[in-house]
Amino acid sequence: MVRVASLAASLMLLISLGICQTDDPNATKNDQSVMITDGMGREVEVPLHPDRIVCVNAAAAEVIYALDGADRIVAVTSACTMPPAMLEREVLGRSALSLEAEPIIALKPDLVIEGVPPLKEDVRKQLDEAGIPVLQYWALHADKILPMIEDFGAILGKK
Amino acid sequence: MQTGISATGPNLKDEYSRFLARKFLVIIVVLVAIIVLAGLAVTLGSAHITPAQVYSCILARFFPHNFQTTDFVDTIVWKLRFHRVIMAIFAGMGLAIAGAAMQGILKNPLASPFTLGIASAASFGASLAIIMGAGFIGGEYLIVGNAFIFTIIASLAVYGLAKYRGISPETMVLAGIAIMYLFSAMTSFLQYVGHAEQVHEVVFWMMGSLGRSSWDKVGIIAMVTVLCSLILIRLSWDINTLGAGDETAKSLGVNVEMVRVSGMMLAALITASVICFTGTIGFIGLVAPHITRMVISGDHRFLLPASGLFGALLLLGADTMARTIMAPVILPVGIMTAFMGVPFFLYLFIKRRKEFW
Repeated sequence: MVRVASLAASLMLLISLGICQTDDPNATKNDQSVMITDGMGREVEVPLHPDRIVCVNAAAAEVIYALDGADRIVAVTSACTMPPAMLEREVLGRSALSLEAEPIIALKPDLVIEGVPPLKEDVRKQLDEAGIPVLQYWALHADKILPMIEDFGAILGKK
Repeated sequence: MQTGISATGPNLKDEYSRFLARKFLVIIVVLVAIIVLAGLAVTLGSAHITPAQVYSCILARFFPHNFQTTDFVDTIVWKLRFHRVIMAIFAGMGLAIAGAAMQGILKNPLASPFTLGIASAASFGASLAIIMGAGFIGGEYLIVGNAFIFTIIASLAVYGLAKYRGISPETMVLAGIAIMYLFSAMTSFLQYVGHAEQVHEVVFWMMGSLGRSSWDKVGIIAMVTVLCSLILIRLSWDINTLGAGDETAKSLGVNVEMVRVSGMMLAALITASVICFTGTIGFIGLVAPHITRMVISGDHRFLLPASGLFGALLLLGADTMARTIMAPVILPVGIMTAFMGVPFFLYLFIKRRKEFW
């Protein structure tokens, strides 16, 4: 009986190892990154296929949703109301300006997307220090939105 | 206190030492409360890390071989929380001691950085930097420098009025309120002409927050607060004498003018260096001294340090509440201080009917 159990256990271990193995390519894929020039002209190294996006820019959240990336968003602001289901994510506050660093860093995001008004300068600095890439887009005009959509397409692999 | 009739010989001495012991006891109790609350505050926040992780992270800095920590915990504790807690302690201390000194020197229970227009001057300086991009110091310290310099300008104006012969303490506060309106009007004007985003930023600056803290800023605030407070405490006998009236103080050999100038300037310097980094945090400077006065009477030798400790406790408590009560949303501490402080303050008023001022 004991032997069967241990056999089963080792089998399960093997299977789970196998799953890890099949996960591995994904992991290496996550290590890949792209250089993105954001809406403010800053060059930022962004991981490809980020899994945990904190998006405090309503327009960007909508675009990511349209690109099938809604599952990758972990937190938004209460201004991100399109689609309304966005608000089922963690809501960090009303405006990006009112946010502070700890709640954002606590979510262990691999990408933060801000708009205008942006995050406070100190918060940005703290995110930089924590090694979290931040993209900023001023999505008010079509000619600003199109490059943003292209960038997100590149990041999410939907180009 | 009630030494009047029964006070004879050794009895008076006993009574005085008991009187002192009580004050020291209050100070020690508040000090212990601050340490306990600080220990609790570093473990609370939106990032879910256990107290054990927090403390081993703190100890890992000092004994890297005995304690282990992760980068994530290290970032949360050392880069985000710990300096904020220390900042709350020193900022609260500074604001409260400055308030207590201003109340003592101007002999007015309404004197505080807010009622003397100093805080609104700081807001104006910050708005000028945010909306017009204009300031005395450029670069990273544009907003901070502006807030600082306008705070000093406002205190000089208040002092200039105070010095003006024949101005009573009541008129003094009235003048301070006039200055407050002047700076508020100028801030409103700037907001009227500013862009929406800039106005937004000004509004958040004016709410006052410890979110802008960093180790450098803690260092500056701690240094200024501790140095200026020590000098103020040295002046406390003289401030006590001022309470008996200028003539009496002069006849007792106190250089009234000198005490008033240096006291006001030191208080202004503390206030300026605190609120230029935090934004306007109201209420602490007004209320911490009053709470202290109710608990341990108005002797400035004890009132100043004890007010500082009460202020530290109040601000640390308010900030901890602000960080946790609506997590992950962090409220500006300026909102929290009034929410927590006013009910407590009113309770003390109602409970102790007798005059305390």
